Amino acid sequence: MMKKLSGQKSLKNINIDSDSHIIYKKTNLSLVVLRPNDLAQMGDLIGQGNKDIITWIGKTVGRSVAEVVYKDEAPKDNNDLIMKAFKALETIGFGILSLMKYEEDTNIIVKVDNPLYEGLEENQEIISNIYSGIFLGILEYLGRKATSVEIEAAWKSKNIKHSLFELKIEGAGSK
Amino acid sequence: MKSFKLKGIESANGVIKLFDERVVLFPPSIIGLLSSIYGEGAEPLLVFLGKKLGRNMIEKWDLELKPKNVKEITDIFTDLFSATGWGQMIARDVSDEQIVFQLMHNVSRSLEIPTKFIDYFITGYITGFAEYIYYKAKVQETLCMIDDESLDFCQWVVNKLPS
Repeated sequence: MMKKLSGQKSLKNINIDSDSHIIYKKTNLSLVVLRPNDLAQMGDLIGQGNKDIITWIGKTVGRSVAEVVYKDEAPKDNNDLIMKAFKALETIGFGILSLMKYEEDTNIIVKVDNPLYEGLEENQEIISNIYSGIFLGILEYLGRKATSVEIEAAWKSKNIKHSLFELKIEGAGSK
Repeated sequence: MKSFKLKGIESANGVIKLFDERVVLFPPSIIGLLSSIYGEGAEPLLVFLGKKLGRNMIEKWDLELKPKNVKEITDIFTDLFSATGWGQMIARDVSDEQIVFQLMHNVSRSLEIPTKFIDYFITGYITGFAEYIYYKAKVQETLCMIDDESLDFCQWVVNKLPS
């Protein structure tokens, strides 16, 4: 392998297996390196108006992350699983995710600092829809059906640098 | 299993940067999801998308690492591609007219349902690179481990076209 690229810096909790696949910790969650702009362009090709498909893509990511956390990190309860899933998402570059409010059967508010759309000049809403999908996917894994509304977003308001998502739980149940 | 290492990569506060450009680690299953929405119609979409990514990536790295010739820039491309999670890429017969790429351990094989659609995306990725170095190029996947289980690699042949 060419020395110019050989590894100088490493990412904590991210591994590469003998097949050159990037793996989260020692789980089976394969990952590839993309730029936020690549995700935005994918979404743009799908169609700006096609929010459902983009949310659905986010949901599959959310479910995968939740499943990996559930199997690998033995969360104590649903709250703990969400926190650990957020930590995993932070590790793979989705920004800092914080649970601002957690009422398990009613609503949840999530703050995203350093969101992926930071620095994009267009298609930021696509990234926000991916975030919504991810949160809904995690909740779906926990047996909760919810809706997501982005109540604050840096791409909508110059005065803030984060996004705030409110997730309203539609049904109850538990894993 | 080794720790993931790459020159130019940094991480802090939930932000991963590669040579000062933000990146994210995303499950490759997103490609399969697109194909499940668009069916066979996803092929041109994925090639187009891959092409944009391949072009953007090699432009950036060309600028950062300043390779001197086709061989060096091809080495950068294969190293970069191999380091970004898609599998282990090598280049054979690198010349000013042709390059043969072989991809071992295609990440598609690691998915629950291996999908040919990742290969369409990779075809685009290679095309983005090939058009950067050759200006006009034809990229063809000539061997595929997804189609032929006796193979342990996929192969793409890149030919420079007259401009």
